[in-house]
Order: sequence, then structure tokens, then C-alpha cells
Amino acid sequence: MSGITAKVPDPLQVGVVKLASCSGCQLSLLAGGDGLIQRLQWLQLARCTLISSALPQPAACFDLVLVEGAVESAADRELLHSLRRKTPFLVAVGACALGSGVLQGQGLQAVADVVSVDACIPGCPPSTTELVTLCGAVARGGLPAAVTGVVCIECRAQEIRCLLEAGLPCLGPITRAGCQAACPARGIPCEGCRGWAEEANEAEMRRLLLERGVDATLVDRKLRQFAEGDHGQSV
Amino acid sequence: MASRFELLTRIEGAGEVQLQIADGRLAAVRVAMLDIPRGFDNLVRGRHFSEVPLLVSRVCAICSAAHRVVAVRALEQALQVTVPPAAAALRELLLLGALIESHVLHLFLLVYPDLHHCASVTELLAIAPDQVKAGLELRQLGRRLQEVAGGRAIHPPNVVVGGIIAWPDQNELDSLSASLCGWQKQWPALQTIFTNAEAYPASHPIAVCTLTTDAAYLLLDSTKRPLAAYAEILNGVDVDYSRARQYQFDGVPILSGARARQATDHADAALGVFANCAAQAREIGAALDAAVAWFADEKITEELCCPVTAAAGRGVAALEAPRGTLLHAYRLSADGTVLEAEIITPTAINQLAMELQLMTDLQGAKDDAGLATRAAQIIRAFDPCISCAVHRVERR
Repeated sequence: MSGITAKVPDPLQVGVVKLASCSGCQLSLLAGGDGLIQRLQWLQLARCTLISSALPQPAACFDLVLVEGAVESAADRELLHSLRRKTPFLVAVGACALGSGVLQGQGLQAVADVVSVDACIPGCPPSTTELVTLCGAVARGGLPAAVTGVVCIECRAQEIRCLLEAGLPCLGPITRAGCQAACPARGIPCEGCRGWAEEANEAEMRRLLLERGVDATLVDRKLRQFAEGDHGQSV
Repeated sequence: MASRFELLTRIEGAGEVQLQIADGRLAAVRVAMLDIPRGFDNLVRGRHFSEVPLLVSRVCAICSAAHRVVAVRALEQALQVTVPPAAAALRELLLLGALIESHVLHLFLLVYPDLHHCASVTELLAIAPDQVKAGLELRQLGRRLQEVAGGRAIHPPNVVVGGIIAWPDQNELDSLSASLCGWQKQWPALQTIFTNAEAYPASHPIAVCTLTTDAAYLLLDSTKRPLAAYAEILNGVDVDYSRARQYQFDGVPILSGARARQATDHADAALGVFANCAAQAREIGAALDAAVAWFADEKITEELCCPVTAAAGRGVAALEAPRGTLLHAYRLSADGTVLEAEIITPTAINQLAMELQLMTDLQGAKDDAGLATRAAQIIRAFDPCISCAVHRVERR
């Protein structure tokens, strides 16, 4: 027998926090049949009230905290501060936590406006692959490489029929990549749920939408429904 | 009288049960829905009708297909639009997928751990690996149905006012059809986990009105009531301890969901609240049958969406979402702007029935270590969805 044995690493201790949200981000992490069973071997949901009755002590520490949803109250802020102090990786997950999405204009805060975050995963909801990739990277002590580019490029790489060319109001040209153009791949225009990419050309996108019959009074709301910060509607 | 709050777990959203103890025994209960209010009824106000489906599907991720479909039906009624048959058919397939996913998630991930005194499905995997694996695979089929019909498993973008945007790829439909046929044969053996009376603790029938809908009418204890008269049947009351509006009919709690839908069909009354789990298990079988039958019909797919012009009007639509009767109502101005919106969800409707069920089963029970667990198990059996329930209260 060889003297070298592979050490089985301890499962990654993950805490899931739900603020003002629809639970869609956690459900995306919890998708899968056999895949989910495999995932639950190396990823321990130490706190996730959606699927577990295990309630760790307030002092318990996690390797990774995923925060879904927007921040409402002083109690939410205090919770985030206390988690931030003891958590090596705290990640804002999904449009509501990133300060974009359907809750814009409701007087809520983005997670990153309250505590520093180690990463932001966009999407409404983010894909299962993205969340599993994040957890896997943290389990190895790091963070996943940042995704760059726009949905449009992912779409072209798969040789999907261009919906803009077909006359449909698709937000692919300005929207952050990372979803593998899931909606356009099914013939459904991108609704921009991952927010704006850095290189977003707003003027050109507006022109393309107007040309495709989007009402002039609705075009800005459509452009900014999932946009963050300076690009978004006032929070 | 002492009272304490117990956090609810293995339930969608944030909630608590308040147990009031007198002389060491349970004297009273309150169920508090505590999600952060997101005010959907308000946030759609002032938006164009075409923006509503994207927004309201976000009320809840598990129920997103039901919210999206009932919203477009209400808006189509307000705008006097009849959608093409292909659109109506694809929405039905989407709803079948949503029912399968929602019920399987509830039964296998939330309820099943209780039957073996486990904290979660992770612990349960060591006891019933094959059953858990089967359940998770079936949930994936529900998700796949929603992906293919709705364009995505959560917040399905394919459903729009006037119809649908795209018809699915035939290869994807064929693969779903094959999976469904397999599951149709496999499900009856798995179903018995949840229809077996011995799996559950004692629970008793409660005196409530049952509420269901056939889409054309609301059915209160099987009596037909027009949808437009929903406010006369669903008497809403805001209370200080729950962030969800409660509903009652003439002072009587209302029960909605699988148990109400099958109230006259099955002799599960002896199961009390757990009749809801048995009824959901049967409904999964019925949904698999319906989905298999869906594929047997030839679909005409030339027209997917009809033109929609803005007009003033009111629309009310209701459907049986997996968790119960879901109702959306909208009033539009002549330019298509939403002037008023109201969303009534099954979990909000069921709140008083939950409290009645807790008192019926546990009043006078000794305040021991298991009391909170038993209370949580009863509430869980209603399959509450607190994101749905707490969508309404005005934000400060």
C-alpha cells in the first residue's frame, strides 16, 4: 500500500440568507436530480431554512454565505454585518441582492451597499451552473473567474438564430454573459435579467428596440429593469 | 400565560408559530408570516400591462408559472383578447410541470424528512436513498417541462399577454414525452410513501369552507360564485402579528389547496391535515396522466400570439395553483396602464385554517420538547409559501 492517501476534504459549510426575494436563487442552487445528491456530499447547507431544519447557533461560522434578496431593515443590516465579520466568503446572489430587478424603487438596499461582498452573481435567477461553480471555487479556496462579454456573443457562439434580425426586441447586445443565452436558445428574446455588461451601448440598444416596435414610453424601463447603480432606476 | 415564538423551517419563506402556554399546556397559537413585504400589488401600478407578467412571476419562484399564467389571463380578459389554441395548450403544459415540481419539492424535500425524523433531505439520503433520488429526478422532470414550455424553469419568459412567444423544439418535446411515459408507470409505487395513513401522526378534520376554482367560477364548498365577486367571498383582514393579509368567509376559515380540491373524491378525512400530502401525491399521478395525454393530441402551432391593443377594462382570473386558489385582478386605463391590481394567494387564504388545525390537533397538549416540532409539521403539511403570502402589505 502506498503511504500517500488522498484526504477527503470536509464539506463546504454554506449558509443561505433570504432577504426580500422570491427564493428563486436558492432554488436554482437546489436544482438537479442525481446532480443535487452529488452536490450535497461536498456542500453542506449548514443553514438553509428552505430545505433544512438544522439551525446553527448564532455564533456558528460558515465557509460561504450566499445572500439572496434586497435589504430592508436595521435587523437585516445587523445580520449582514455579523455574518461579514466571521465569514471568509460572502456573496450577493441574484438581481434583488445586486440592487436591480423587480424591487427597484421600493426603498430597499443592495447587499453591497451594506457590507463588502466577495462576489456578485447576477441573474433573475442565476443559473444552477453559476452557483455550483461559485461553491466549487470557494471549496478550493478561491473565487470563479469573472465572466466578461455579453449574451449576444454566447448566442452567436452557439449559432442560434438572431432574434433581433428576426425583428424581436432582444436585450442580448447589452446584457452580461454567463447564462449561455438560455432564453434566446429557445427563441425567446433576452429580457436582460443579468444586468448591463460593461461595454453596453445604450444608445444603439435603444435604437434597435425602437426600430423593433418597442413603445417609446416603455423603452427606458425595458432597458433598465435589471440594470444596477448608475444605470438603474433610483433605488 | 407564557408565549414563545418558534421559527418555521423546511417551508418557503420566513415565518414563526407563536405557542401560548397556560399551566404547562398549549392554550392558543398564532401563525405569523414574516417575509419582507415587497408590495407587488403596488409596484405594478403605473406600469404598462405588457410589463406585468415579468414583474408578477417574481412574487414567488416556486409558483412563478402560476402567477405568470393567471396574470396574463386576467389582463387578456380586461383587454378582451382570446389567445390562439397553441398558446393556451402550451400554458397548460407549463402548469402541469409547475404542479409536478411544486408538489414533489414539498413532499420529498420538506415533508419526507419528518417521516424519518430527519432535519433535511441530506440526512434522509442515508435512510431512503432510492426514494429520494427518484423524487429529485421527478422534480427535475417538472423543471424540464417548465423550461421547455415556459423557456425557463423559474420566471418563464415565454408567457406574454396575447399568447406565447415561441413553440418548443420538437426534439425536446419528444424527449419529455418519453420521460413522462416512464414516470407514469413508476409513480404509483412511490406515491404510497405519502398516501399511507400510518406515516403520519394523528390529525383531525376541521370545520372550514373549502375554496377551489374551475377558472370560470370560484367554488365555495362546491357552490359557484362569480370570479368578479371574489371580495364578497374572500373577506380580507390585516392583523398586527402576520405580514400577510388573512382571509375568511363570514367568520369561517377557508381551506384551499390539494386537500380542498380532493375533499369530495377521497376518504382521506381521517388523515386530518396530512390529507393534503396524500392528495398532492395523487395529483402528481393525475398530472403525469394529463401530461402524457397532452402529447397524444396534435397541436396546430401556426399562430402563437394575437395582437393586443390597449383599452380600458377590468379583468379577474383565478386558477388552481399547486398550493391552492390563486387570483389576480387588474384595472387598466385606456392607454393600457395598470390603475389597480390585487393578488390573492393560497397561503394567505389558508392562514386561519392553519391556526384552527393547530388548535384542533394540539390544544391542551403538554408543553414538551416535541410540541414545536409537531406544530411545525402541521403547518408544513399545508405547503405554505410565505413569499407568495407576504406580497401585499404597503411598504413603509
